[in-house]
Amino acid sequence: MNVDDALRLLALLIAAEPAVVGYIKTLLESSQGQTGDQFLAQADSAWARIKANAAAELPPPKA
Amino acid sequence: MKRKRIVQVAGVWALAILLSGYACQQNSYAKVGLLAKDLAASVLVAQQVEIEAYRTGFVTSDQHTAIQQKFFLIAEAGARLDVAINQAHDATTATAEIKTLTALLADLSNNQITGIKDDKTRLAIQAALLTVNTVLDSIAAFGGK
Repeated sequence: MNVDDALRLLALLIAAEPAVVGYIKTLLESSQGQTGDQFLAQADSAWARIKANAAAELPPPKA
Repeated sequence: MKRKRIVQVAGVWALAILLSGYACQQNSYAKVGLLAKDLAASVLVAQQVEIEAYRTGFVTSDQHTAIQQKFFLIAEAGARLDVAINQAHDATTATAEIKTLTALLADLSNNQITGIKDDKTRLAIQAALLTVNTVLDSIAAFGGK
């Protein structure tokens, strides 16, 4: 896969799921000039998002 | 068409991780932090690939529930790993959480994902999880440094 292919596929993904891809793009773009603490804060944010996504996909507990 | 897109997304993500995670020169703490961020991001991508596969009908409801429960547990372990790295710089706890994550990912891959009947969907999700495992292995490689 070359860079053009990768960019084209990313564009497709952006069109499909803009909110999620925007967030992932932010994570990828933040790889320069940051401290370990800043990276870990971003990781914590992503984990919280994964938990929220999973909780939203799970059926509600039975009463 | 949707299946093809899922496979493509997983491939692009693997490429992006390889290009972004290892290119920069930083100290060890920043590098581990970067890898921890990439680990969480790669799990997020794998989760999104599975959700998309479910919504397009390639994963059953029962499979989807089991897989998302596993993602929830992985996220909890990942957050604990971040705490071990960040607040305590605790190698023992970090190693334990890496083992927990490795076991959860193996269970997810070997028991939940293998139940998906559609070959391309199953391979796409496994490919996304392979990226997760690769990043996790890189974090483990920092142990003792």
